[in-house]
Amino acid sequence: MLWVDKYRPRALDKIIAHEEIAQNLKKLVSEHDCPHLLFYGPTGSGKKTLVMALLKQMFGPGVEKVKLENKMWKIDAGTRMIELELTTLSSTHHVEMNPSDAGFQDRHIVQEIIKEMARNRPVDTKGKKGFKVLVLNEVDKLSREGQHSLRRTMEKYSASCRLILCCNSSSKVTEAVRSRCLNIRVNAPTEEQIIKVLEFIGKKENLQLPPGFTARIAAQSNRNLRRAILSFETCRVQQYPFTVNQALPPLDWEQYVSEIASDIMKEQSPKRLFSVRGKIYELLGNCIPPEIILKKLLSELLKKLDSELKHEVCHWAAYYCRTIQ
Amino acid sequence: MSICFPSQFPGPAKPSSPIRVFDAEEESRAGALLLGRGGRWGPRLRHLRRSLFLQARIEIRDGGEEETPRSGLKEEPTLGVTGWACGSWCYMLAYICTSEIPGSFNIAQRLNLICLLKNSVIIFMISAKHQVEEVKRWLEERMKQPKEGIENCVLITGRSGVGKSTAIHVIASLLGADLCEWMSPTPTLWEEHVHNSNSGIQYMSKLDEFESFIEKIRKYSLLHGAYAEELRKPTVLLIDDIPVAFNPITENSIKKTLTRICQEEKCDVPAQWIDHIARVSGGDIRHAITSLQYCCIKTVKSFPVHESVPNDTHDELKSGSPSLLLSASSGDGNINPQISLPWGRDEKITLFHALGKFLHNKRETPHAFALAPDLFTLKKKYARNPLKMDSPEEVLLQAHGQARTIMDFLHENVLDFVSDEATDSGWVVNSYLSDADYMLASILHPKFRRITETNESDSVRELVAASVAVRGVLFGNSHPSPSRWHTIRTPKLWQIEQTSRHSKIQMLPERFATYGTSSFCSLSSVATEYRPTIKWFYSPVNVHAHDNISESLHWEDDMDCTDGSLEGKKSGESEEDDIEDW
Repeated sequence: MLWVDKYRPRALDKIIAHEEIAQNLKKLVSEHDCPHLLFYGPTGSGKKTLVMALLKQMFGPGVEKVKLENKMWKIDAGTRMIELELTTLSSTHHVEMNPSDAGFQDRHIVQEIIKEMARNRPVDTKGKKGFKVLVLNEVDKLSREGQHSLRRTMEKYSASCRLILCCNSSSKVTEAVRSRCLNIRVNAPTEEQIIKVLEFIGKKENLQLPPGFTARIAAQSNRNLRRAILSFETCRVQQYPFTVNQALPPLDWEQYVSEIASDIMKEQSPKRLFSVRGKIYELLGNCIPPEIILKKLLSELLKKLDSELKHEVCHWAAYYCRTIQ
Repeated sequence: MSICFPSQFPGPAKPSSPIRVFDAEEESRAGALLLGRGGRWGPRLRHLRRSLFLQARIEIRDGGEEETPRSGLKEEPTLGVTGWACGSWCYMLAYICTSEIPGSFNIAQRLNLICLLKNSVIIFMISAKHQVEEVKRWLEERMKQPKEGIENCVLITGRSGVGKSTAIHVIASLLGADLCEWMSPTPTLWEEHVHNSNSGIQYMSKLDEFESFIEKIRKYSLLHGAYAEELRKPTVLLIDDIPVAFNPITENSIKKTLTRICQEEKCDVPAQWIDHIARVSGGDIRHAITSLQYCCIKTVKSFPVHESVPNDTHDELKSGSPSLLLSASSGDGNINPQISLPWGRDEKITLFHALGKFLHNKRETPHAFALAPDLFTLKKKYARNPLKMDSPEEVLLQAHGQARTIMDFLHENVLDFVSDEATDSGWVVNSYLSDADYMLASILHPKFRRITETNESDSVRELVAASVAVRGVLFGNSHPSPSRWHTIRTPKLWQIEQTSRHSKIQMLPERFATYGTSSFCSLSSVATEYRPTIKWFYSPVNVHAHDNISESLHWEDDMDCTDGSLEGKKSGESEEDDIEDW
């Protein structure tokens, strides 16, 4: 098991990076109920960890017993039947899924599954009707229609289920959905917090940490906790005991992007444009999301560009980042 | 002499085929007559009768003596002419193989007949009268004084249906020459040959085939040397299908011809129809006549006459307001694309032809046009020479290209056509392509779609997107690289989309492996964080292995997708907008 998973805090009390949020969430669910929640923040900041810890707080260890289901949904869309396949993770208390996997059919998913869940309301020991929690990932990738139907179902079934939504950017979630949720912003952890986490792991693993080593990893991680831990573990695999100047393993695609950036700087011609395009195609073929490539490419270019060109390049990067959505 | 339907026009007429007199039925079914062959053709002409196609009256004179039409028929002998269809471009080469003129040939007689033929030619080759005469004169010359080498060749070019083949047929028979037609064989491509190589078929290039054809003719004429008279005949060799142009026949002359036919056939065809047919035929008289014949069938009652109304207005627009850029660039005298007859001649071009037009971006030279002073002038930066083609939208229409396909092909190939220094052009082109792609993405990707939008607006958007893409390419590529041979590549994007879909499917199970199988992880973090890290675990190579990066990026190449259950889920739509325009 990777350290990222091994040392993931399972309870709200044990959370290191976002202690304050964790405590507030704990208070929120102390009465075994909560409003709809929307977690948003950059990748690797700990949204999902918080969600899982929250669920455990609400329902106890039962939520960790999940089963993976690949279910076919037959949806009557008026004129025709739509068949959709969706993978879900579910326990007795919650269901987790990626509705955007369904592509442009996502609104049916949202509607149908929530309906189904509302039908099978769990009954708790006291005979009181409980509620289920639906965890939806990548809500920002939902289509507009999907988000609209999400809004409707949120109201309709609010008695029987709670929604926990996760996304990177709340700006891509419609106003209507946002206003129906308690928005929780999960910041990227600061470098100090990351260092703290890394040192915690190091202690647990009984590692000798040279001074400044964790700080270097933290600095390189771009305030992404997951990435920091992953690269920490990579270092451990490659060379132990650690040395002060140990090279940190770069991510291959990032290196490739910086190669592209230097290609761009070296020569500007239609031919070069073509070869650069080929390289970007390759990254896309490996499922690196285009907006992430664009972002990385921009930051690499900004390192090398003259200051008067920076503004122009940023402008076009922003423009194309918008159009590739 | 032979009768034939245009579609099955025979190759070289047999030297001694008997004269046939058509019966009424055959006649009505419309055939084409060819002139008799050889030197003895006086009497043959007598039997030439009316055919449904082109008609010409020929007064037959033989040695100055007038011949009366046979059997007292009122109608005069006529000559039917049809070309030999062999594709849109029909080229011929007349080549005289023999070096002798039949001495027995009566020059006076021939001259006389040539005079006769002139009449007929005037009628047939309305537009190309002088050209035909030239050809004929030339042939005559050659026959009188044959020369060695290349001078014995004449090249006749022109659009299909203007009557190139016919001219040669007629001239050759008038001059009493043997006509051998080189029927261009179906070319065997090298790939085909490789494919067939096991079956024992020998590869033969077109040139070799041609040589052997010539050889055959020589031997053939030697064989027939026994028939002393035949030997002396000059031979005209007709070669079709050589890539080289008769002017298209003018609208007016087509109209005249059609009217003539109508009179002959006593068909009551309104003048409007004739006008229309003539306009639509685009100078192809053969097509025009066939159309007319179709019109004359009694069952065709309704003719789309109303279409002539928008056409007129179109013309008015053209002449009245020259500032309309679109109509100005579409060129004058073009067929209004909105009009299509059920039997109409729709110009079709292949996708690659269209792409070639767009990519090569051929334009008039600056001095060839002069802007009218009253037109608003553009800044120099935006001004471009007029296009050497129809308006791009029209070309798109003819090519029946789908916007997505066209754009992908343009996107893939356009950079080859931008000259090396012109980085800015490359940028402009790509930014237009990006805009067009954005427009198209909003159609295909329902994320942007509003429920109220109909298919109609989608198709309009698709057209607009294609137009933006094509015009963007034409406008942006202001410094095209010097034209040379380019191969058009298949868009690599398609391949990449497939790869990306494939690797996405592989990643789907991986995201459950994280979080200790208690939760999902987003695909992007699998791709950007977990996978690279895990790779470090399993291949503890040198950290500084920069060189291997591009190779190591091919994670998915050696694995194959066995997880079919997830296949259906990932439909293509999610990748549609993965196009980068940098």
